[in-house]
Parts: sequence; structure tokens; C-alpha cells
Amino acid sequence: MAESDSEAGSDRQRSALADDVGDEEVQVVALDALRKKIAAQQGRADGGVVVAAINEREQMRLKLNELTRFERDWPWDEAMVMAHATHDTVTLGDAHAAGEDADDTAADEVQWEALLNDDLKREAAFVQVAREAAERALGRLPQHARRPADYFAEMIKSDVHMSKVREELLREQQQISDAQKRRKDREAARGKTARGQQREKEQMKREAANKMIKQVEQVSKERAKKALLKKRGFDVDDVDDEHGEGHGESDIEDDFPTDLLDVEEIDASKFKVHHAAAGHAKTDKKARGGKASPTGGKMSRAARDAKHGYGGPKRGAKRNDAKSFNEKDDGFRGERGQDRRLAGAVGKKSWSKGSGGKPKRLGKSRRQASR
Amino acid sequence: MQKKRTAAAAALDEGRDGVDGGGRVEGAKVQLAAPNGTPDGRVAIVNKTRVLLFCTRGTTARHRHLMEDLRMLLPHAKKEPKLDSKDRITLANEVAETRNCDSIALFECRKLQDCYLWLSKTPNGPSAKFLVQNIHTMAELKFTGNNLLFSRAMLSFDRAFDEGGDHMLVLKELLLHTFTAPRGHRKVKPFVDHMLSFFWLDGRVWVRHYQIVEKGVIKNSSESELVEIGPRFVLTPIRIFSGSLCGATLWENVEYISPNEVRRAAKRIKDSTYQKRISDHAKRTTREAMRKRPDDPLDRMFK
Repeated sequence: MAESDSEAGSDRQRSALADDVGDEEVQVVALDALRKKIAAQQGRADGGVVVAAINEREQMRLKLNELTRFERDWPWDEAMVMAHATHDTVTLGDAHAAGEDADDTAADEVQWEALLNDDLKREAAFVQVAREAAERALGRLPQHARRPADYFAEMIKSDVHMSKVREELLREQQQISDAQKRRKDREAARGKTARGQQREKEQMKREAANKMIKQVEQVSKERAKKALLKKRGFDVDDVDDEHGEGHGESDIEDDFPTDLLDVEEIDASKFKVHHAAAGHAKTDKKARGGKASPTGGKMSRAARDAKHGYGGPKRGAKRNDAKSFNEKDDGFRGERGQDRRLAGAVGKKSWSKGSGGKPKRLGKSRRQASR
Repeated sequence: MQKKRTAAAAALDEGRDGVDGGGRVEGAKVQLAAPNGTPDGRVAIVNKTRVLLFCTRGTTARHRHLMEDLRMLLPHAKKEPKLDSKDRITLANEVAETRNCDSIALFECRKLQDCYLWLSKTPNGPSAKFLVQNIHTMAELKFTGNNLLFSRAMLSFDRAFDEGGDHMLVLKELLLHTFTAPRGHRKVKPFVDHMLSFFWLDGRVWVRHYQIVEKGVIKNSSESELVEIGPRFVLTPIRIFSGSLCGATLWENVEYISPNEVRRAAKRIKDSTYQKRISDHAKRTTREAMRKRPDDPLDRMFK
């Protein structure tokens, strides 16, 4: 009890300037509750005690008339005001399709009101609507008002800043292409090793087995369908006899082994996929239970050094400087993990290989011979 | 520079005054001259809008950067040192008068957290107070656009500003007066290569600033593209007042929830666990007192 008292006390003592609520989720919950309360108040009929919202239309109109009105009193060139096209729904074109959803490359219809919570779609919709208005506006502008390509004057952002922007864009593109290259190299390397080839063979066997099972299912479905139709009295083109030798208009290839349709004849061992090297802890990670070491214990010192490099993260390194502040932080450790590897590594080049990429030092006689 | 005679100027000459929906064209009268320099008796009205753009004491970095970004967008903006007192905010009107400004854009930052924006027409005009949120300044590296400094921007508004009612018209007019750069201003560059767009979504004004890239500049583009320059922010209208930074409320936003209310409600939710514990303890005390039995000598018989 005493503890809770002091907690509450210290809560109240914290200054109003600090973010003493702290928890953003709590704020969101509170905001939702408040919004619901307001909506409920608005929806109430004359029954409840509702203070009518102030909306002095007449006064506002008078005030507007006192002002000079750009759209009414000045020619269009003065303020260059455009109205957006009405948008209950917006069709998002390529700008959006290039984003997360790789599946829908077609234009996407979105409701305007639904845009509130989807940041990417909302900004894409804004650009779409604004661009349409810009097209119309450019049509109204005289040709001499458009900036010529060779007009150089002070811009709103300095050249230094623009070069930083360019650098950032290039860096992002580079990261993406590096990641893709790494993935491709990994796949290629895997394919060349003995284990990789074994995996490919197993994969093909599994696919063949699945294909065969699907075909069996399809044929049995067809049979059932035809039997049903026949029962109902429809004219069936081919009569399926007990041994299932009728072919007819099914989609199955002619050389399909129909004798396999008899359940008794199917030999389960024909479809069994042999997991080669199963249970072999040295090569198969699954058999190890996901652990790194062949004996199932922890990784050896040498193995860890080879994987991560010596030394680990540099202590006393700069933190939170301008560069790190501008880095993208999407919650993934990838970037920092990579720095960790590079920070302590001694002569370590490619991470996919075992030990460092330093070329092996030749013996004395060969070194002297090359001199 | 020859100033063309506007239709409005012609209308004024015909004696139409600003009464009953006629509208008054504000601006300075300028004597026009023939090419050889002698005045030829013609008079034109020139738009001489000036905006006083400044902030109160207590603005944090992000809000100050937003204000500076806006300063670069508005060639007709005038700078002022920080307004000392947030309580007597109407002092800004006097400052505007001395600086010969007819609009005020004042950033009022409270509690080092919340940023409010006042848009106002001095000395009599309507004014509006907004809550500024979701601020992204021009310096963010994600904004790749750029435009000519102090070139005039095209402005685009959602239809909701025209069709949403009288309060929407007032908001639109205030935004127009703030963000329209006058053509004749000495800082203004002759070309148009950017646009400011105002969207209406969820009862708020979303402001976006785009660079217009002509078609053909980017490869394979058949039409002009828009690249965002920044800054990017959202304005939640709170109230419209009949005076400049003061006066009767002409319109209030019923759906507006002040940041203070949100924080207060959040604190209450957090506090509820503690309150529950206290009340539970109090109940326990009373319960125990109720169930206390009197001392019975018979209890001690078979010890």
C-alpha cells in the first residue's frame, strides 16, 4: 500500500512539461473514448442536454464580404487557384502499385474516407488529385510562365542539401540491390554444393509425388461425377466399369496408369519421399534441432569468430550523430548487425565463406622466388 | 513593369462600392505610366498583401523549422521577434499595424508540445485557430523536390472548401490570403514551378507542397509529374473568430479534442488501477470489521 502511494505521489510530482503520460497506446485509447463520447452527444436528439455548436452563418458571410476575394475580385493569374475534381473514390495508378502490393498491378479504387489510416495510399491519392489539378492549371498558364530548363537561380533547397538527398536515394537503391545480389549468390552457392543438389532432387521427387496424387484425386472425382450422372439417368459417353478402365473426355493423359485407381493396388511406398541424410546431424540442421553445432551444444569459439568476426561491437563509438539520425530505422537490426560484423572483423570479406577472405600467405621459398 | 488594368479596377472606377455582396478590392493604387515615363492618368490596383509570420515564446525546434520553411514559401512574409506573452495575444495586431501587414500567421506553441496556428486578417477581419500536427519539415531527406525560391505557387483546394458551408469558405479565404504571393512583390520570381495543395479529410486540412516537373523532363513521362518538396502538416480547425485574434466565436469545431483533454483522459485510464486498489482496500477494511466476531470465552475451553 505504501509503495502504491509513493508511486502515485511521484506521478503527480512530475512536471507538466514532461511527457508524463508516456504511453502512446493509452493516449490512443483515451482519444477514441473521447471521440465516441462526442459522436454520441452529436447523435442525440432533443432529449439530452446538448449545447448547440456555434455556427453563425450570417455573420461569417458578412465577414467574407468585407474581405477582398481572390477568386471573385481578381483575375485568375493573381492567386492561381484550382479546385480539385470531386473524389468520393480515387483511382490509384502506378504510383501505388509500385508499393507494397506486388499483386495488384492494376489501378486500385479507394474510398476517400478510408484513406485516413493508410499512409502510403493516402499520399498516393493526394498526389493523384493534385496532379490532375496541376494539369488543368498548366493549361491556363501562359507558356512564358513555366520555368525553362536552363534557368538557374537560387532554389528553396540548397545544392548541398540536394546532394544529400541524392546520396540517400542512391544508398537505398544500393542496399536493395546488394540484398538481392546476396540472396542470388546464396541460392547459387547452395545449388552447387552436394547438399544443395540433394535438396533439389528431393524437391523434384516431392513435386512429382504431389502431381501424381492430384491426378489420382482428379480421376476419382471424375468417376464419382460420372457415376452420379449415370445414376440420375443422364447419358454418359463412356461407361466406367468396375476396373476403372474407361477414359473418355477426362483431362488425363492417355498413358496414365489407370490400374493405380484400384485402391488395393496402390503401393504406398511408390509415393514415399525419402529424406536423404535425415538424422545426420552434421549436414542437416533440422536433425540438430536448429542448433549450430554438430554435437548439438553451443557454437565453438572458432565458429563464432568466423561468423561474426573478432571483437564484437566497438565500444565507445559515436552514437546518435547526424548520420545515424538520418538512417532509416524500420525496427530491423540488419544495418547495425552488419556494422557489427565489419567493426570487429580482421581481414574478413565475404560472410558466406567460413574464414576470412585474406589470401593465404605463400611459403618462404615461393615468396622469394616471386621477388 | 506595366501593370494591366484589372477588371476589378475597371469596376471600381464605375463606382461600385463594397456593400451588400459587392466586395471591395484591397490594394494600393498605382499610377500607370506611358513607356516614356510620363503618367498617363490610368490607375491600377495592385495586390499588396503582407503576412506577419512569427511565433510566441516557447516554440520547439520542429515548430520553428516549420515556420522557417513557410517563410521560404511566402515571399510576402515579414519576420518579427517572438511574441512574449501568449495571454495577451492580441498584441500581435498592433505589431502587424506597425509593420504594415494585413494578415497574420502566428505560431502559438504551448507546453513545449502543442503547436497552434492563428491565421488572421487585421485589423477587423475574421481569424481562425488551428492545431498543427504531423509536421514534416522540408529538410527531411525523403522529400526530393525542389523549386525556385520565392516563385509563386499554384494553389489547389478540395471541393469541400467550396461546398462545405460558410465556415469552409472562411477557412479557404484565410488560407488564400496567407499563401497567395502578390504578383508585383519585389522578391517574386517570374516562373511558376510548384503548387500548394489543401485537402479536406477527417475534418482537417492536409497541406502538401509539390514541385511540378514538366512532361518530358523525366524519361518516359507523358504528363507532368509532382514531386513532394515539403513541408507537410495537418491543420485541425478549432474556432473561427469574428475579430483578429479575438472577438466572438463564429464557428466552433465540435469534433475537435484538445491535446490537453487527450492527455487528461489517458492519465485517468492509468490512474484507474490505483484508484481501484484504494477502493478495494477500503472495502476490505469494512468487510473485515463486519465479520469480526466478539470474543467468546468458550473458544478457550479446549485449548
